Amino acid sequence: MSVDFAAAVKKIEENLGRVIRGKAEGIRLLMISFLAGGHTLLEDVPGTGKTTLAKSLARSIDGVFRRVQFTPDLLPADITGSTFYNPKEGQFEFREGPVFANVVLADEINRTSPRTQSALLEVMSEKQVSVEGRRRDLPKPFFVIATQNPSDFHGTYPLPEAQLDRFTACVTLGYPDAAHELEILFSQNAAHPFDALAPVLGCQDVIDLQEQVKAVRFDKAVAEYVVKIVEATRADGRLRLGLSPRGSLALFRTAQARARIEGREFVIPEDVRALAVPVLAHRMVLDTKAKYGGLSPKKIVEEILEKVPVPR
Amino acid sequence: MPSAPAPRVFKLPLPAALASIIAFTALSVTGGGYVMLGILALAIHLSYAVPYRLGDDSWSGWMVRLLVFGVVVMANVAEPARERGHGFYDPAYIHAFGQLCAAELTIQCWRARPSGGPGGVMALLLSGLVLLTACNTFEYRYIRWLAGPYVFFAVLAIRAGAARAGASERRLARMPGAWLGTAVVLASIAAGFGMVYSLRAYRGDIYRLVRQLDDTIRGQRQSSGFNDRPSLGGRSSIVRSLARVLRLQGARPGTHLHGLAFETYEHGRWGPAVDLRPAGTRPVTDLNPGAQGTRCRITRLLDGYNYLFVPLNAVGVLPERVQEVEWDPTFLRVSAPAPYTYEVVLPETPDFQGPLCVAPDHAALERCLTVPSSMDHGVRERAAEVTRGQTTALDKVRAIEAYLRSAHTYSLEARPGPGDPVRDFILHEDRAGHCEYFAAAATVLMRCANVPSRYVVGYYAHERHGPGEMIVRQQDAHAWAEAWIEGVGWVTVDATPSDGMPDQTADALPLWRRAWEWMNDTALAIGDWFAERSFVQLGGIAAGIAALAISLLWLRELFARRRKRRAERPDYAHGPEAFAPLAERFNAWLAKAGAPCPAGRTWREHLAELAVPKSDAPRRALDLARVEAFVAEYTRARFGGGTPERLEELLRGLERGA
Repeated sequence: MSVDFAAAVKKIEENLGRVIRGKAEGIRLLMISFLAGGHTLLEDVPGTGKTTLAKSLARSIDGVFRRVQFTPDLLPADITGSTFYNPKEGQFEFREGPVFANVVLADEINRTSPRTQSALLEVMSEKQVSVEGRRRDLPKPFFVIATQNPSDFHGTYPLPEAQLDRFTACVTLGYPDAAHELEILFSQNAAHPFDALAPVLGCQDVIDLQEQVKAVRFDKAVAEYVVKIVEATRADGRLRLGLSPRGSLALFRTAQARARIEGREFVIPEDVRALAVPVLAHRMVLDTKAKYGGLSPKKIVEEILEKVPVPR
Repeated sequence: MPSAPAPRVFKLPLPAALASIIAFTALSVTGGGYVMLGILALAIHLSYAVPYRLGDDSWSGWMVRLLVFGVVVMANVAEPARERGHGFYDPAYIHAFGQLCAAELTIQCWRARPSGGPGGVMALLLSGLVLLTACNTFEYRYIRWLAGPYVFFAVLAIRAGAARAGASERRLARMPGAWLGTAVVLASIAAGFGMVYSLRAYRGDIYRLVRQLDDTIRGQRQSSGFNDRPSLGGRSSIVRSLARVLRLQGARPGTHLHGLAFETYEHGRWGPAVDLRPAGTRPVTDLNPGAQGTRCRITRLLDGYNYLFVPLNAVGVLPERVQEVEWDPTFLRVSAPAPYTYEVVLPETPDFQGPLCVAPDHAALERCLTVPSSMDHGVRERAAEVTRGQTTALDKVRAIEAYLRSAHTYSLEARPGPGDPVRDFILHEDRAGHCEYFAAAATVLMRCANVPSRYVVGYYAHERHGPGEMIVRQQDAHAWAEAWIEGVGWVTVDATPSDGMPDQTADALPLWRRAWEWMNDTALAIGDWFAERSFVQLGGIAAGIAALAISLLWLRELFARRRKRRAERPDYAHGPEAFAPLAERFNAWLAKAGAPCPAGRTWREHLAELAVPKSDAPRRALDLARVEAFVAEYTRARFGGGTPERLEELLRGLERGA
């Protein structure tokens, strides 16, 4: 029996809303990325609730949650797991790394070396781990939430493009407004609302929801619209690197998820437009001239959206 | 925090596998089938080495099941020398059931997610069934030694299952301390011995229970048989039950099946039966083998009835297996156990005089004319009265038959008076009686009218059972008379009124009984079908089933692949071309209304912008609600796969309003 999509999404969003106040949009974006089967990069200044959001999502789906604090001395094997010799049994045993979970929080991902960051490449795109020549599948559903702090540059390594491309969406929470901040102060006075969270969905339900997303109708004209947007980024002279087919795929799938969350069985151009910035902008690499000319990928995406004719 | 469930192939916990192998061994030592059980045990072992598993969808599982079960059934039921006739509680069937359980157990080991909870609980239950099946033959020599280890490993398997999640193989090695371990082993062995010996101790009870059940279903073995010296009493001397006695193929409903004949009557009791007289019987292998006519196959289904029930006018009787039949002119007897099939050749004319219609010799004629001494003058007068004006013997017989049918009433319960029951029945027309009374009265009256006659018991076949087939039950037992008429021969005289014939008085068949009989028949039919096939044919059938299963699996795979390919193909459902002119007209209309929509915006975004009044912009005279309704409808139809019919109307409304 399939899970009631609207009710399930509402339950999770309510759960998350109880912990992260006044960030309905960010939560929605996280949900879209999650239900599209992708991974999310939370980019924000410290203290805005990135880690709490990731933890709350993990707890809401009754899945296994693991957190990895990315530090400069972290090694790939610390993430994927490694084999060790068990003297009692007299044989090598594989000890699973923290990625063997349903929700993995990669905290401060840009603090570790590119070598360690690359360990996540296979994990994120293929949802598997290869250690010492043996492939191991990760549990389903598998979802990585990474956080990074954009303001701090000291002792950080910017994420490689290949890594960035593997994040379906980049979500910025931002500071809460005054009213919500006041609410936060009082809500955490006695106990953290996170402690009262209860799981509302099982892992199998999530897989079911993700399957439902794939069934959403995608009109050819809208798909062509996606392709046109992506092509426009590749043709743009201000970009050193346009979008990959992985990017258009992500836009395609997240548009389906958004349509489904909004109660539609079909994608409309608005879905694509609404998701273009969070799904595409972080994948693009600006030309040096454009970078120092005060342009941002977000602006370029918005420009492209204004230029490409919308399918009617 | 629990560790993440790493996807792993199901493997039956080792103790459960060992318990299963022990159960297999037990079954093979009691019932044979080493090859089949050996292959199944090997398959269980292989499941540890091979990572392939049957998919979670039940389809492929069922295909494999069909194949394996088919082979098991063929291997078991197809033994031609099998002792048949027990239905599905036949030892061969019980053994086949054990092997089916073993096969299912093996299939469970090969499933990606076996049914019945964690740690192969289902497999363990099945292994228990296999062991119990092995115990059914009470062959203790080996089982008492196998039961102990079985219990031991079963306990370990339950423990592994209770501890859940993997590593149960290692759990075996990590047994508790030596003392406790020894205690568990000893307790298990004791429990195994206890189980086997208690089964042995209650063997008699178990047999009795099964026998009782069997008797209930098939009818009592001894007491329901025809009496050699039937007496006339309140109730019919033949036990009425729904047990099936005969199966007839090729006979017409309404056939009297002659069983035993009686010539002597004295004080309410017939007999002894003709056949019990020492002289006269002679063994034959068949009566009139070259007889021509319609063949009727009769199968005797019940033991305890050693007579061959045959229509009086049969041309010939051909026993199926060459066996000696004791034959007297009035009866046929065979000592073979049920089911026993014989063929009867039926004549073209109803009055045909076959081997059973031998003309009576002088002594027999005398006996058939003797009016019992208990009949007084009144009876003779009644006979004379009834046959008055009838000249021929046949007319007299028919008159007596008609008289009894019309003047007396039928009742299953008769109330005999203190005198001779037949005399009383004849003289008091208000007395009701059952078929035995009518038959006896007819016999006596015919004798009074000087027509030689005898009293006959047998069955009246009437219950149809499929095309050309009839079933005779114990409740169809019937009594009638036979008269010897010079120039004609023996004729059947049934004086029972039509409302007293077995087809009218038969009890309705309960549904459970019908179902039981169906199951029994099906089991026998399957067994017979297999028994009729040679090993080459069986091999051919097995190969055919395998080929069918493989081709079905292959076809399914093909369809699944095609379906997957279709599902993967993006849903580029073209919006009907009819939308393009509508969009153009709407854009034109917007421009005309002074609010042209840029190409890089959706209409909805554009309208949202229009809804916010700008101080510097001129006020637009747009009915935004109507426009939004159109846009919403258009979007739903265009991208949701709808039709443009309603849009045309809405747009025309907008155009007219502007």
